[in-house]
Amino acid sequence: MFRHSKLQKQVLALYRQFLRAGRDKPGFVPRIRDEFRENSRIKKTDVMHIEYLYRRGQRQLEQLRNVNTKQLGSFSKPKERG
Amino acid sequence: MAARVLQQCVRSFARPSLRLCSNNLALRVTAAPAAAVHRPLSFAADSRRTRWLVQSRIPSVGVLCRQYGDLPPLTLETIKERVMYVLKLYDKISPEKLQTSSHFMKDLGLDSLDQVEIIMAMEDEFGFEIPDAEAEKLMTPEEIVQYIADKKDVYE
Repeated sequence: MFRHSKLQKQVLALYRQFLRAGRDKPGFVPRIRDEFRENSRIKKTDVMHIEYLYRRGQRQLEQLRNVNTKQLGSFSKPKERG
Repeated sequence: MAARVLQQCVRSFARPSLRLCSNNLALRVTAAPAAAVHRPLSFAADSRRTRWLVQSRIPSVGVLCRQYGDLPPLTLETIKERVMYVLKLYDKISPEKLQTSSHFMKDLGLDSLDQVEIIMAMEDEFGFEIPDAEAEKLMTPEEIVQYIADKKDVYE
């Protein structure tokens, strides 16, 4: 738990880069946090899945760093009353 | 004009206590008789320069001193307060349970993603970057304070 494996360190470094890149653009940080939090639930032994998500995250980081990306928003369905 | 300058120089060197009041100089200039004018020109030039120097060194209520802007000096106490303040603002930590020696993972129940966020908040607060290798070792507020004090050369 205290000594992170190589993969864990890479994931944490990716998280840090994401947070730094998404600081100035509105709407990214909550999404980043939720995404990483969701994926933290998968088991440590499932290396294939983790690596896949890691590569996907790197590609998304490049998209985020692109100058043309301005902000992130999402649509959600309102809760039904009654 | 040169004579007046020489008079001021002579008087300012002779009476150092009265140098501080610029009003006195003006009075002395109007009331004083002409001193010996037979001086070489180079000396006149020097004395004029020294006269300005002498006058500009007069500390009249700090108007003539240069001012620079800087942050307040860091002490261990201020670092600790700022660190605790930032931690209290973090929504996953309850402020009552927070102490300087509380471990993020063992006592406060945070995980490594939260720890990365906390270290980033510290970087924002203090304005300098913490590399990843050292950031993952900082697990209590006490360690963070020690690290920042090391980096910023603050000791007591």
